[in-house]
Amino acid sequence: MTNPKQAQMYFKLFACCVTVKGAVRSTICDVQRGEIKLIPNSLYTILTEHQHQTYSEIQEAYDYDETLDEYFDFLVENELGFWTDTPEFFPPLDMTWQTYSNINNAIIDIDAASSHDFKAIFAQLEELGCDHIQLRYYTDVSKDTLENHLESTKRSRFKSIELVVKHGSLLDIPAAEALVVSNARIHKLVLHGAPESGIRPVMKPGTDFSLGQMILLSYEITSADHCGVIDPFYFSIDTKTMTESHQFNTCLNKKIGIDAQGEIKNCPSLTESFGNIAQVSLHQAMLQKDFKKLWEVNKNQVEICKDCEFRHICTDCRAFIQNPENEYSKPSKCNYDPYTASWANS
Amino acid sequence: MIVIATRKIDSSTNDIIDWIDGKGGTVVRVDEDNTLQRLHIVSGKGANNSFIQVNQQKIYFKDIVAFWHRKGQSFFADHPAYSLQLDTNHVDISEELAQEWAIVKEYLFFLLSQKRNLGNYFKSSLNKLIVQHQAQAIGLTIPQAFVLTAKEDALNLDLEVITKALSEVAIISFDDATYCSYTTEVTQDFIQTLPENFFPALMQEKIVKKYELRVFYLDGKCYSMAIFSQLDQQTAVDFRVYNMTKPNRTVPYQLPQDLEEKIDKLMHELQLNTGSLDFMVTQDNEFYFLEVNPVGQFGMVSLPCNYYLEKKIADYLLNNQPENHA
Repeated sequence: MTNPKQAQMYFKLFACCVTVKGAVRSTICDVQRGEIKLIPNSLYTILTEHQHQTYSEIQEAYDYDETLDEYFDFLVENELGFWTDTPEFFPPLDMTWQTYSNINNAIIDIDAASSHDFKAIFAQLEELGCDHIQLRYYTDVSKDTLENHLESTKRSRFKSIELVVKHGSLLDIPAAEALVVSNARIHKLVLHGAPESGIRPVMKPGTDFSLGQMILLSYEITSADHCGVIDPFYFSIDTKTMTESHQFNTCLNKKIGIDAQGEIKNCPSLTESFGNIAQVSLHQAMLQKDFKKLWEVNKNQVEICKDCEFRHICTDCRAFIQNPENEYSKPSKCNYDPYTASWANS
Repeated sequence: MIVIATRKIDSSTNDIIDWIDGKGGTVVRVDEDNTLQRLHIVSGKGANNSFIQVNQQKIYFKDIVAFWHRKGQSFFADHPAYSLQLDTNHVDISEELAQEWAIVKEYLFFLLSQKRNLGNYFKSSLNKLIVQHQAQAIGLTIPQAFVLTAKEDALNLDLEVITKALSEVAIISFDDATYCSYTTEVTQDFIQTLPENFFPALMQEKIVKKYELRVFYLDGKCYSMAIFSQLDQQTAVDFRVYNMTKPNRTVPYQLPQDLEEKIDKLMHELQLNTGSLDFMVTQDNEFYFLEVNPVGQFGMVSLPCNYYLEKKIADYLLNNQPENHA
């Protein structure tokens, strides 16, 4: 890099490649292409503290260290950044997150004893501006019953429906797949207690147009206690999570849950109820003091997580935490230690 | 009430309706294939009773506070109730009826243009050559361009050129395949294959770009995005030949202030309060203006740059609602 032109240039990461510093290493979260790159903290320092310096100024600051060229070559080769003589034209990504909804997503739990009035629930959710709904069935349910429950969503504002259903005599894999094919809003169906595990894309019959996916799990999901697992598989590397995570909780913000008994909660896995759907409307429930208390608990505030390089792509969980007395404690189902950069038993 | 004239499938329309709804506004959406069922237009005394009826709903002009002609032929297209009378084999009569209808249609859009407006129905397609001419007069740099018909002239060009449609991108299907008239380089070899005289074609100076820009203009403000299309061979000449597995880098961009001022001036001259403008930026940081699309897609700018343009458009339609003129 002795090119005199280069010497006077500035290095810029593409705005969609956001650096996040951890205790012992950092990440570049590529929210456009949905990838993360692990980088040493020394490179994080170059990209942040030295971002307003030219190549030759940085070289001078680092006493002409050859590692610098290796770093920059790595970033350019991987299309993470570029050299420019007009850095002022390239602002960073604005981290503002906004929504039009009172409630953006809802989880409804169902077991053999549930008696939810789905039509009424869906009508209330639409009123709140809800876009995404997830229905989790812990006991056997047939395709006909599922269709019946979803009947009133056919002409609705819901943009996506996710189903978690039990594999069994009432619902086999072909029936589950037929359900995804017949309802364009269903983009994901998790079939638990299935004969095998795996991910299957669901295509529009006779085409290569993807309608959604089926996730087969060989184990059974029997209650809301199964939720809250933190794993790279669930990392969400996109602009929405990145921006929302700077201010809000990436799981609980704008969420409402109805558990299998009809108790209205921020999430079905949490203990605090704000009334039963049989007596209280969703709107009344969410107006209660404390309903939104976890919405702004973000990863920059959570203990240990605030030192984690994955904190802005993480899904978090406030229901299962290491110290239930402290709402800022780390999720108990996370095996990552940012201080040693290692995952325990995984 | 905000009226949006659009197409059945347009996700930006859906997004903006969500934002308007979230702010408590009322939207009437009319898709281009919706039939105009009834017209009741009163001029002078009793103008408050003017309405049109679409989807069994009477829309009174006095209730409309804003109108957005988003896309499509809109609901005054060529298949409303009047087409019943057009069902004639007599050419003179159908021509006469078409002219009568054109006057009514123009008047309807004139009435709507008295409301708070986004976009301009009368300017929904522009002449690229005239716009380039106007842009240059304002002080924007434009690529040199030729409209030629003779092979001899094409061979005599002493610069590298590209060609593209003067109107919209053509999508042509035949032999079970679909062809799009994307921007293409014109090589000497290709010119050699042409007949002595050919259909008028645009030949435009090929700009070697560092990156290109898409600028969404809304009510005096520019929201710009740089597209690093030259990093990828597939998108180097026309970024719309998308690479789905490794999409072009698209990042927020801050235009120099004097360029924003020129854009504002051009849009005023074109009588447009919204539109998408395309630029190319060269190695020497020269900005070449290419064109304005009055009904461009902005979702592709809004999302990667996190601009929330859908919200800004909803705010524009909702806020500062003028007094009713109807």
